[in-house]
Amino acid sequence: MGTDDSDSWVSQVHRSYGAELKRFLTRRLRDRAAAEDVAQETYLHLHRLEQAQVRHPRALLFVIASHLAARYRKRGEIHGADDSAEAAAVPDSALSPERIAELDDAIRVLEEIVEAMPDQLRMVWVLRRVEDLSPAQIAEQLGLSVKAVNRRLERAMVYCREGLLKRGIDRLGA
Amino acid sequence: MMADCGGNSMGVNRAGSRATAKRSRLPRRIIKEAAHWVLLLSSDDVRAEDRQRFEEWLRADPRHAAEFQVQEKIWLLAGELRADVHARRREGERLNPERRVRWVWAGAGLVAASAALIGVAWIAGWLPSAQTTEYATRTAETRTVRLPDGSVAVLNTRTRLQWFRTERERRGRLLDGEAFFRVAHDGRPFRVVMDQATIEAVGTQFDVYRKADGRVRVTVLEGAVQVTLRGADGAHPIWERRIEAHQQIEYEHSRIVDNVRRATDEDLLWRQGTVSFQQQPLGQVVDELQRYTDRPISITDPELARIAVGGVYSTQDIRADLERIARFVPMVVVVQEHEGAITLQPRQPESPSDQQR
Repeated sequence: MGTDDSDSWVSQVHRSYGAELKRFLTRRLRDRAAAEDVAQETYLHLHRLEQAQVRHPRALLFVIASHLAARYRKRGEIHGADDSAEAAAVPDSALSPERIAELDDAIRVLEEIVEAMPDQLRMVWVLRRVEDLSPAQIAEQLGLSVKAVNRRLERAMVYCREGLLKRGIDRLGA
Repeated sequence: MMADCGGNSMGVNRAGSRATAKRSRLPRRIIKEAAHWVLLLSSDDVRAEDRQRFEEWLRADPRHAAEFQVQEKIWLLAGELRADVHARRREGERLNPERRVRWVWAGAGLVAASAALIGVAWIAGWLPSAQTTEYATRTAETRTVRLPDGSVAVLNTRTRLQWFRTERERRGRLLDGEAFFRVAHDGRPFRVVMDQATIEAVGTQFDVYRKADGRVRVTVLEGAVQVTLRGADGAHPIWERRIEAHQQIEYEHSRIVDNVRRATDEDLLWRQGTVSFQQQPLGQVVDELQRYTDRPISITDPELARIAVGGVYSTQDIRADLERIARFVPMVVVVQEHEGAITLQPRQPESPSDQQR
C-alpha cells in the first residue's frame, strides 16, 4: 500500500469511497453543491489524522460526513447566522484519538450485537447492510412483503440501539 | 432549543449501567421513531411529503435530532462490516472458525432459505461453497472476465463487479465503475443491479457505466435491455424503459436525465483503450479523462472549461492527452512536483513568461 507522499492514504480513501460518499451526502442534503462542500470538508478532517490512528477509514469517513451534514443542515435552519451559538455548539474537534478509539470499539460491539440478534432480524439486517440489497430485493428473496422487511429492519435497528445503551455506550465516535 | 443536539449531539443519554438504561430518560417511542426515519431516508428516493414529515418530526423535540444522528451512525457502522469482509476476501483470508460458527444461520428453515439467497453464503465462506465472486480493476486497467455461465464481462477503469451464482437467474451487482457485458444464451434471466435499479438483458451486448456523480448510463449494442427503477418501498417501479440496440439512456436516482438517444461503438471505445469526444466542453472531457488517472486534474478558469474539444485519446497516458489538447486549446498543462496534480491554466498570448513548458 502506498506510503509514498504522491499517494496519501486519504487519496486512497477518496478513490475507494468517494463516489459512495457523494451519493450519501447528496441524498442527505438534497443539494449537489452542498454535498460537494461537505465532502471536501470531510476530507480536510481526514487529512489532519495519521493513517496509523485509523483502523476503519470507511466508517470514519461516513461518521464524520454524517456529523458535518447535520451541522450543515442546522446552519441552514438558522439562516446564514453561521456563527450563532447553535451552530458553534456542534463540536469541531470530533477527531481526537479517544473518539476514534470509541469508534473502533463501537464497531466491535455492534458486531457482537448483530451476532446476538434473533435470526429473523439478523438475516434482513445482514442482507441490507452487508449484502447491500434493497428491501425489495430482500423481500423477493425471502418471500416476504416489502413492508415486513422494513418492519424487521426497524426492529433490528432498535435492537442495535438498545444493545448499545445496555452496554453503556451512548455515543459513537466523532 | 436546538442547541441541545449540538454540543452534546452524540451524548444522548448517559446510560452508565443496565439499570439506568432501563429507566433511561430516552423514551422507547423516540428510539422507534428514529429507526423508522433512518430506514426511510436510507433509500435513494424519498417522497417529498415524507421529507416534510421528517423535518417536522426533527423540530418537534430536540432529542429527535440527537437520536436520529446516533442511529444513522449505527446504520453507517453496520455497513463497515461489509468493508471488513471485502478486505478479508481480497486478502484471501477467512473469518476465524469460532466467529464463523456464531454467525451461521440457525434453524433449518433459515438455512434452506439462505441457500437460495445470493451471496449470503459468501459473507465469509460460512456455507460450504462461496457463491459470490468479486472482480475489480485499478485505475486505467481494463480486464476481461469470463463469468461462470460463459458470458463475458469487460471491466473499465476503477470498477467493482460482484457476481452471484444462483439457480434461477444470473445476477451481478455493479458497485462502481463501468462494465460491458456479452451475454451467453442459457435461458435464465441475466440481470445487473445497482441500488434500486435492475437492468435485465433481453439481448446480448450492453454496457453499464456508474458515474461518480451518481448518474448511470446504459448503452446497448445488440439485442435490448429492460431498465427498471423501483421506489424505496420496492412495491412499484418508478419508471421502466426498454432500450434497444444502438440506444443509450442516462438516469439518476429517480429521474431520467437523458432520454433514449442514439449510441455508437464510439461510446464504448474504452475497450480498446481509447476515448472519443465530439466537441464537448473541456470540463466534461476532463471529468471523463479523470477516470483513467489518479492525479487530480483541475481547471483554473471557468471560461477554459467551456471550450469545445474533440478527438480520440488514449486512456493510458492522460498527461500526454492533455498536452495534445493544449496544442489547439489555449491552455498550459502544469504538473505539480510533489503530488503530481495537474492544473490546466489559460495561456496568455501576451506574456510569454507565463508559458511553462
